Amino acid sequence: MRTIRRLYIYLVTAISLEVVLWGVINLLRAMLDTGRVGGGASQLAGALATIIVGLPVFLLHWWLAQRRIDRQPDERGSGVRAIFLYGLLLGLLLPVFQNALAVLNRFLVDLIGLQAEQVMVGFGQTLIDNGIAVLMNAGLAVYILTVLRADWRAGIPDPDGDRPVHSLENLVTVRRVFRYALVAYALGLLVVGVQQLGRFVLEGFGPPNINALAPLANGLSLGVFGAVLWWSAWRTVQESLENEEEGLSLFRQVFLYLLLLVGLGTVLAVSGEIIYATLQVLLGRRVSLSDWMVENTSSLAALLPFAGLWFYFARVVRTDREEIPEAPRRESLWRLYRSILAFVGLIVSFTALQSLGDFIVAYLTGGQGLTGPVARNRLAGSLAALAVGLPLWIRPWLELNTQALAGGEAGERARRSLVRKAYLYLAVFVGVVGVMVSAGGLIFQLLSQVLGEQPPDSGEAIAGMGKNLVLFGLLLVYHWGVLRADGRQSAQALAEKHSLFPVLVLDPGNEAFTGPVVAAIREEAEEIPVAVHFAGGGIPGADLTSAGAVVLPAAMAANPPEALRIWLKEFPGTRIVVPMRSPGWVWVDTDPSSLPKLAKQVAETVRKLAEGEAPEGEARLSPWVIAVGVIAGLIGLSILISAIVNLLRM
Amino acid sequence: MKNDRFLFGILIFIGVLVVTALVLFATGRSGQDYVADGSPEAAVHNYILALTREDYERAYGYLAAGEGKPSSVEFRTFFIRVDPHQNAGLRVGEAEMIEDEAVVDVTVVQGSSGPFDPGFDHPDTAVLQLEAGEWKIVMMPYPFWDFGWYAELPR
Repeated sequence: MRTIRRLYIYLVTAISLEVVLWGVINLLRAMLDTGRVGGGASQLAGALATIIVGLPVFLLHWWLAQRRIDRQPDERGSGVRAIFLYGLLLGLLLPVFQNALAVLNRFLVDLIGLQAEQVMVGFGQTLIDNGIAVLMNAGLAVYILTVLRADWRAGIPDPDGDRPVHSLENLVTVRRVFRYALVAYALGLLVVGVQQLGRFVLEGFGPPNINALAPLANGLSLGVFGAVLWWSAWRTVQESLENEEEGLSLFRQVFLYLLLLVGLGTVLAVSGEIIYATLQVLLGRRVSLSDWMVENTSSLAALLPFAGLWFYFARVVRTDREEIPEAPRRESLWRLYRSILAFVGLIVSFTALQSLGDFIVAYLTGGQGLTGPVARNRLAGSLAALAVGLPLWIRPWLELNTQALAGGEAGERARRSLVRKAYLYLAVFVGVVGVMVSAGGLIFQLLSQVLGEQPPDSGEAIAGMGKNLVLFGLLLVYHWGVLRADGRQSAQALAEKHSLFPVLVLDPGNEAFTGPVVAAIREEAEEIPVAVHFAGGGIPGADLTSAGAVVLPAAMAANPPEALRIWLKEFPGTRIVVPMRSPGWVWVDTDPSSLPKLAKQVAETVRKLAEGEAPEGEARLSPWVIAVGVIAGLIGLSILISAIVNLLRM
Repeated sequence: MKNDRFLFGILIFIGVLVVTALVLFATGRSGQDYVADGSPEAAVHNYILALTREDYERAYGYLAAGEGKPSSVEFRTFFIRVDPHQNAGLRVGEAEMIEDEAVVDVTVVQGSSGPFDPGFDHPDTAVLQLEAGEWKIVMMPYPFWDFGWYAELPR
């Protein structure tokens, strides 16, 4: 309830503040716009209306928020408040930067003598428009910063040793996101700026163009502005790494890997365009060098900044990886990144092979319709996609396989990783469905022939289905083979681990407990040695003390004989307590009614402990959450890269 | 190890596919010659081939007479602007004739426009009529036809 209330108050405060702010900005713009003829009254009325409506709402809600702080000082540490303050700060700083950039962009366009519409940022605005927006947003940003500073101060223990009024955890986390958001914004400006400068250089190879200087003006303004901002934001982030927590944060790792994916994805996409254009020429297209350059200027110009982005952040990621002490986490992120690359590469290569196969089938069955340019473009498209997709698939895939084939803990983790399994099963799934569909289609075509029906183009249809069957079959057989090899190797390693993890079951003198538990453990992992000790016969002997885990009913754990209590206290392994029904005892959040179910859970826990995994009860991400996250990430990434490529084509 | 060999085999298979495609492209030019007029399929085939070879005079000769027929200059201008043969071909299927009219199944074969666009085929029809013993085109799919021509189908 408190969180919902917080969300409401801070959301309304943020919206009403922005409404009032832009109302004031528009009011000032209307008042100071002396060159305008007509329409001033409606602009003035609009601005005043937003202020009149927004101001009371803002004041009321901000007062509510601040009153809450006075009554409950720990409110300063709430996550919602931190998101509100840093979100608002970002929402104020970005307009400051955009308006400052607009002034610079227009100044350079004017200096070079270009038409005003050539500016990339701030077309149709004036120095006064931008100046007002900068001053108002910056003024409010300073106020928000003072509020934030007060919140931070309240979370820091003072020298007298007084306890801080709230935890800084939320502020630290949200500030991290804020800093990286600024880095991403500045990086975007820098990349577009460099791309524009590259475009200016490349357009020199084309025919004379009246607007050829526009990329120079735009590139200089975005590039210089972006570089300064990025240097400042990135330096802040890098300096924050002195705090070990910042360097190890998951958010930083995910952010860096996302940058790598965007950089590499765009490099490959534009490389594909360039390879395609080059292959067209090699396959006989007649085009002059200057025309070719004009056609491919956007792609060529994008190569340098995105390749630079990729190289730089690949180095940063490498350095970070060396500094993350926890091998499993470092490996899992690295594996996820490599798996995404390999899977995208696999899809691109497979699609390219399909289209190459279609081309061959069409040619072998007559080639009608594949006139010179059509055939050339289809072949060039397939080969270019293959040239991009194959290295993207092969290199990370071989690295992933090498890791999975390695012995020891690292190889075991690689083979059992959810990401690898998801990759392999997805490939197998696509292979099975593809084989089914193409085999069905092929049989239908063949039967139609046998039964005397000869539809037009049946030869091409049969060859096409045959081609699909071969390609999907290869996909299926290869990945199925990898999956089986992984399974074999894992089974061997697990059997070895199981045999080294003896388990002791304490018998309370109740066969109804001991029997199902022992049977469940043997069924779950037969190599795990299980010993049963009757608790009424004294404490277990020294040979049983070396067991990896001891299993006992909850009633015995709650009220053990004194000798057993001491033995349990000294026991070096894990104690697994089974919450069985017991008169006068209630175990919260468990279902003690079903012993077979409990026995199965005990067996799973024992197996996980034997395999070095975290036992049940520790917070873990659900595999579904991970799978949905990966799929959403892939979709988002492909949208982002295609948006970048489409923007570059404009 | 076994899987590595399999992967190596797949890569060799891909290499063979690439070489085959290149060889076919360099040597194969089927369906690229004029055929004898006299059937609706031949008229469609020759019309497309004439456009591909930029022989606009011959292609214009396959147009039916009638109200709205473009002049030869309009015809040529349209194709210079649209440039259909740069990235589209036509596969000619079977014709169905009813008296002096014929409908020919055709498939427009669109080339790729980039590395991640494999191109596409889409089925359509061409309509022809018999004029003084010769098959003339009344309608073709885009981009081999401007739908502004022949406001109403000629009779």
